[in-house]
Amino acid sequence: MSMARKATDNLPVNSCKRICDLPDDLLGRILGMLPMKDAVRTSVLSRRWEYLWTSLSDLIFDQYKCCDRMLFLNFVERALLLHDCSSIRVLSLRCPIDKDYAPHLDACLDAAIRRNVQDLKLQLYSLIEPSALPSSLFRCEMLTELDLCFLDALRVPSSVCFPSLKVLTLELVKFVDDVSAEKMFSGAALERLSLYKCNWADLGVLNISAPKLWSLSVTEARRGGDNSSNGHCKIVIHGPSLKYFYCSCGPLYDYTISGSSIPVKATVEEHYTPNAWSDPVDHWHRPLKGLLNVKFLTLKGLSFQGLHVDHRLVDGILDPSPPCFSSSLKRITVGAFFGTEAEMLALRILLGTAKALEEIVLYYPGDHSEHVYKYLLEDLAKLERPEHCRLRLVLLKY
Amino acid sequence: MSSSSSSSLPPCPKKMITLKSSDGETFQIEETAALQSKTLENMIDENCASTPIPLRSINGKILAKVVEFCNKHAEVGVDAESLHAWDAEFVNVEYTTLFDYILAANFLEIPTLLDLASGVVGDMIKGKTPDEIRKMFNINDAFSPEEEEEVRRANQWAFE
Repeated sequence: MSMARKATDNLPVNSCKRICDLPDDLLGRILGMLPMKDAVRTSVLSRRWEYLWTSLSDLIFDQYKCCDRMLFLNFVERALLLHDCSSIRVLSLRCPIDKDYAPHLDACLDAAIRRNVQDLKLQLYSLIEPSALPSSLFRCEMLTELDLCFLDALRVPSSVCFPSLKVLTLELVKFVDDVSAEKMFSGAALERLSLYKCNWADLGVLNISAPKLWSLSVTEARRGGDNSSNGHCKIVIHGPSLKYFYCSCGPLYDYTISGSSIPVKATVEEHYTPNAWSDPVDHWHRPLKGLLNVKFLTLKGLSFQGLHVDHRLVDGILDPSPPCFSSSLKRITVGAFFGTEAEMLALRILLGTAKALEEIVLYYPGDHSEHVYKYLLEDLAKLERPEHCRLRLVLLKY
Repeated sequence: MSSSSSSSLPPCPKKMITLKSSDGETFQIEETAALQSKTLENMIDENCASTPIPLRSINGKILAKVVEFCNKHAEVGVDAESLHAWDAEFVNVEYTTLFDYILAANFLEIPTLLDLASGVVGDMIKGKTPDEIRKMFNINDAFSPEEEEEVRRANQWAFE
């Protein structure tokens, strides 16, 4: 928020005895510190306060708990129409939409865009029939941040123009054609992209190619009952500036990262039970195959229980083994190690495969009594491991 | 000269700036601390800060507090938590003093202080009825009941 100077520059500061001695711009600033409803409620304080709230630069509307939908929509429109000529920084709108409301939404977004909105958060729940977002949304030149939760197929118009967009978050969006998706993901200014439970199962390949993108986070949607309709979409990320990659993966997509000259930090988290995986080794291995220039890799929630029944592992061979295991993997940290039979077996396989390993650290949240800990240490000492590899067991206290 | 330092560079003397309040009191502040004020920064950049800077709209009592605030926020190595506690204590004052902080912070363009003081006034308003707010801040020019009802209806959403 820029500092307000005009009205107050020559005002004596010695004499402020009442809140009404503050000039309008500073009262507006105080209102900006309040939740939207509290700020609007000051309109009844006095004639002076009636329209002070219309200069708020952050407009947050949530229909949650507001039973009368028309009342809500009318007020949103009123706020945008009454808004004084200053810029709107944030517009956040959470409400259901249907065909009756679509024109209102168009008008509201138009008004916000005309006032150079920078940060737009839209959570729109479509009620009855599929609805489209107004095309003005996709030509928002000053927009730097867009957070869109849209429970429907997203149809992007042919002229997409987001020259300033830096942060893009899409939630529950369904992409029906790859042109739409790729247009959204190729902004020249795009730095951070989060895709939360979006659906692009209909697409064969999804290209994400943004020159300034440094952070990418993908949380996959749960696969529906009909497996046959969900092909394995390939996600090809061309990100010369990419530094962080987070993927919470269900069994849906393949990832390939290319073009990054910087070491990438990646976290891959499995968020489904092992039973959901028809071939556990293949499935947790698959998202990792394309992460060639990843230097730091964190794996979370990958179930060893799924692995120990697999015949390829009973032989003690991790096949196919990721190429880094034999050449460059230097350190493995296991977040929660209980010393179960399956974990010991998995550990034996890891130690047998990772030839260049220098250190393995196991965090042990289990029984802290001395004899259990001692037995576990003895068991671990018996494991064969690469020549210069240190093994550490760390007690995890809650 | 610092005796403990073995470096060949002599320690840079701290550059001080003098501020003069509306009632003639003068205050010394280090330039690094003063730079938190955009207004003072501009004066320093334009070399207008060699003589006492007259601040005709800020009295000595408030200026002393503003200098104290800037000094604290320029300290090196203060962790966020203890600074937060210090801030909370700093604004634990009568609301008329808060209004003075707001005006002074606005004039001197110190966004941290402006946000801090505005936020406290905002917290006082939060959750209160119009009557309570009017009483607390001594707001007199209230609407007639009919007019108030009309404004309330126009902004019905906020009163649900």
